[in-house]
Amino acid sequence: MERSRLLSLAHLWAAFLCFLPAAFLGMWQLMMRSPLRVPLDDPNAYYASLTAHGSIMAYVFPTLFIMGFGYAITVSTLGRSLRGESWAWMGFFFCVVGGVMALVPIGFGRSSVLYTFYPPLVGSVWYYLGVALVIIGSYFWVALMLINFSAWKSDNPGKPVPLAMFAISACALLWGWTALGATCEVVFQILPVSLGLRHTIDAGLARTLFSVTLHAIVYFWLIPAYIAFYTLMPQAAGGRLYSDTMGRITFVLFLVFSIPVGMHHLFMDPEHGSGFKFVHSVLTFIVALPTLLTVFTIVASLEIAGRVRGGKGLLGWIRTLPWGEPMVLAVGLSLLLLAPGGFGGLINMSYGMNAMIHNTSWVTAHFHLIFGGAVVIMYFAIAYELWPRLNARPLVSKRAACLQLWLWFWGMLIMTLPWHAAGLMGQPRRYAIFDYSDPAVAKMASLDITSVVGGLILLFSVLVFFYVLFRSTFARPEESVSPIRYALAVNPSATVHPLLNGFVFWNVLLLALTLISYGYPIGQFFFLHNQDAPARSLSQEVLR
Amino acid sequence: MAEQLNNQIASGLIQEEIIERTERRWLYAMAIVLGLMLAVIVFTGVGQMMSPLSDVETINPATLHLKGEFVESNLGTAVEPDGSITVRFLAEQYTFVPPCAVVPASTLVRFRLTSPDVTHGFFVSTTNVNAMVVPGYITNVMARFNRPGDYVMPCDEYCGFGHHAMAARVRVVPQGQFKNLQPEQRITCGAQ
Amino acid sequence: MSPENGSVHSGRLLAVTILAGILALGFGFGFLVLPRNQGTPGLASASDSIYQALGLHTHNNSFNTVQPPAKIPSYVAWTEATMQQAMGGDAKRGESIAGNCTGCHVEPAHTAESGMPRLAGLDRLVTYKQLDDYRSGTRLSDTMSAVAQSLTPKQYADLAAYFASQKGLPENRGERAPGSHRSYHNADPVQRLIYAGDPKRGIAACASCHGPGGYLIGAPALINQDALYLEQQLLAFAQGTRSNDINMSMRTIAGLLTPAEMKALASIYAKGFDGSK
Repeated sequence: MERSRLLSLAHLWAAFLCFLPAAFLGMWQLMMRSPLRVPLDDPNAYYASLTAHGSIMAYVFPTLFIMGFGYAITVSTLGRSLRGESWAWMGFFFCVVGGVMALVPIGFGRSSVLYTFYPPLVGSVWYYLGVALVIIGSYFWVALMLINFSAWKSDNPGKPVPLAMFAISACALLWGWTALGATCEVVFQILPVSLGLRHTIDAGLARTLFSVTLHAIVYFWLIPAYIAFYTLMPQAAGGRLYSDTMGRITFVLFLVFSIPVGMHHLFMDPEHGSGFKFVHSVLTFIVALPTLLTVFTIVASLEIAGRVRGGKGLLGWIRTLPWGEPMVLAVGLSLLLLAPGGFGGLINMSYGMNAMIHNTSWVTAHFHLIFGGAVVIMYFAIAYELWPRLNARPLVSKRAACLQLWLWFWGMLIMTLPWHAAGLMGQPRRYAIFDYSDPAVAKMASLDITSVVGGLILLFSVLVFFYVLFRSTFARPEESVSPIRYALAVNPSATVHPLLNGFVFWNVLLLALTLISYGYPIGQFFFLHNQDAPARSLSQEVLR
Repeated sequence: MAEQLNNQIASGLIQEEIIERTERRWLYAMAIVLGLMLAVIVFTGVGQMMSPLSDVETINPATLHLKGEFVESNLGTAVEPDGSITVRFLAEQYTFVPPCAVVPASTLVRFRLTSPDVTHGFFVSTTNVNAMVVPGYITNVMARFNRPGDYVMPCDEYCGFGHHAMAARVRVVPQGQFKNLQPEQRITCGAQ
Repeated sequence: MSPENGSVHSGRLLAVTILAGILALGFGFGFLVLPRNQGTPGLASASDSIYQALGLHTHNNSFNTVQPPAKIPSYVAWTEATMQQAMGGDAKRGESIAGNCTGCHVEPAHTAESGMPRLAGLDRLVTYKQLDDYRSGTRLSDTMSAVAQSLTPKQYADLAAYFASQKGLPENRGERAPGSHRSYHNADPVQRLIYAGDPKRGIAACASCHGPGGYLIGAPALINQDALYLEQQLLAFAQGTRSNDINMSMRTIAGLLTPAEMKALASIYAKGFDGSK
């Protein structure tokens, strides 16, 4: 168990240590695009920073965090040591090396392709190799989650897999499938060009392959937050989980429906017809369902905890909840951020309304609010739960932790709400510079400055977070810390429906659904002609 | 402390049937809500402007200037035999060509764009004309402008270091003021 | 069938039925109902509707077949074949041909502000394309036209390789270290134009294609180029007397500049900048 602790800790530290510079870059970017002045406000530097910030926050940070959380869940729920721990370390090594490899060319300004890297815009080969290595490293984790899951199941036939383990295994499976989209794009289309072996790219195929990953990756990020909702919060609140079954159904729904929705990112693209765009739109409505189910189950679970502590009346249970517990506070704040974030998502997935805000600041604001806000706030809370157990020392201060969470909550709202408004007013995204002397643009000046204030609050929150982590790592050990305990359901059962205890059938359904929804859209490219575009680099890289 | 509290709660606080019933009701309610939202989309989709771009047309990006629909002499505004308008732009690093297009108000306008280099976007500000321009493909978007005026049309997909200064203009003039065009004529703002 | 198997079976059946229903709804509406109710003419049958939804039905785009006579800006297209030819020249062979060029285009014979472009160090693709444009008459110059017509395209590539290998114009690899002066807040409006462009007029930063920092195929690096030549070319693009820029990129952008800006831009680029200005 000792070495597994180090394994999880290494992943989490690596994740947060790259989160920190990315947060600073984000702050600098916020200021540069506002009317305020910052040093080095060179547009080329902005686009390089944007690439670094996006790549870290989308590919490196969450992947490492989820891997570390996954190993901790495996060991603590299954009650035995991790099988294949050396492989886990190898995966970690690949992730770290890949992350560094990807960031170096960005730092030299040779790969400002942004984290979505849409070809035919092509950057440095080292950037793509780095991202590929991160994905390869994560596949070690995927394999280990599933191996440990299966091994426990065959050693414990008929017994329900603990919900947290079931969910993180679903998460691993989901990532394993969805990462194939971007991986195919990178391996078969982009790397040959960045290595000089080929000189043209079908941009439509590349965007479509990327869309396979682009939406499901957010559910890869989201599921660990929901794991904390279902399995850690009720315990921390002193209550019970309202329904374990519903939790399992939720995670199964995510597994099956996360991938075949990706084309809603291609609504405004010319390389697909409206038919499949509509099919993906319908499926996107289905994938909204598990979140709606979760909200009910989690609020019900919170209500149990509140009433057990003496809350009376329709809403009196809210006051009596232990809001001084970081996990409980985080869930409350996360639900509050999920509301506007989810609402924004419903707008994005409705074609007619999407046309108003496509590629405007609304989109950027939306995913900062929902991922940076609702999800990452849970990552902080998970870190606060795990830290004492991984370091065998209590958290230095729950009050500091709660302050940090409040700062993150308010900072995120203050940063993203004006940003949404700017998007509605037509502000395009991914702009290094706005000419505020233009009256049309000047209307957004106060909005952009307000976002800067939000960003400063977020940055301060990050610093408090690191304060808590560092002090809790080196605090003097007092009495022993109790092991992590996962929530029990109101009516825990000794058995669970076999379909909610394994993934074979859901894999089949997922594959069939993905084939049906993506088969023609991807296959059509092999029958179209004349669409290959010459690769374009922002530096002389691709010329040989 | 939280752990101690948990031990005090026995199982069976709420009957499982009640839990199942409430969860099921919520599930049905959410399914209905989502279904209603979807129905709204379907109904608003019945109407040309509210449906996604559909035609998949390919074109060789490297030879746009040599042959085909997007040679430079064919860019700009044209009138169709049926009285509708077609505006052709090129979106390239880092300018739209032409930089300014003129169209009549209250007329069906068909935007057709492609790119010789990388992916761009175009977004006629304050309208819902907003789509991607992907090299190798032709983007075809229908619109009808009811308000005359000058609309800024920025590029809204990252296309490289010059992305933030790439914008065209769409000038909507009242129908009466729009020049009568011959079929082979193409105009841009300068001609109005 | 055991009770457990039975419930697994019925669970699977339920899941598959629900999924089939959702897909039927999605495909039905997306392929059969919506396309035929969106005002697109001529979609009578189900197969028409399906083709339209797949993006195959482009009948409503076969309009306006009357095109004005095409004007070709350049016969060079940046296809793989062309680029390989243009990049594949031999500098030694090029040196032997270049004797006549040095008299106008290379120091010390070339004088500053002579209105002739300096060629030493010029990007290979640029040299190749301009020679080909002189040959085809898409770029006009009596002298250069005669020169280009006396050479073969293979020789263009050799000349291009030779000039690229000479010291003169700095190579534009497209990278630059970030600098606070390279900003939209630079007090000098011309430097602003070079590094940040002018969003209000829709003029991209010159540097984003011509350097420092930024690269585009076929766009020459401009640092240390002849000032008078640069100014004259910008004017020529703006007036349309030079029109060999593929897809009108330079004509469009130059058309948005004022003559004073053209002169100032040419002057700054010609002097070269080490970043401290």
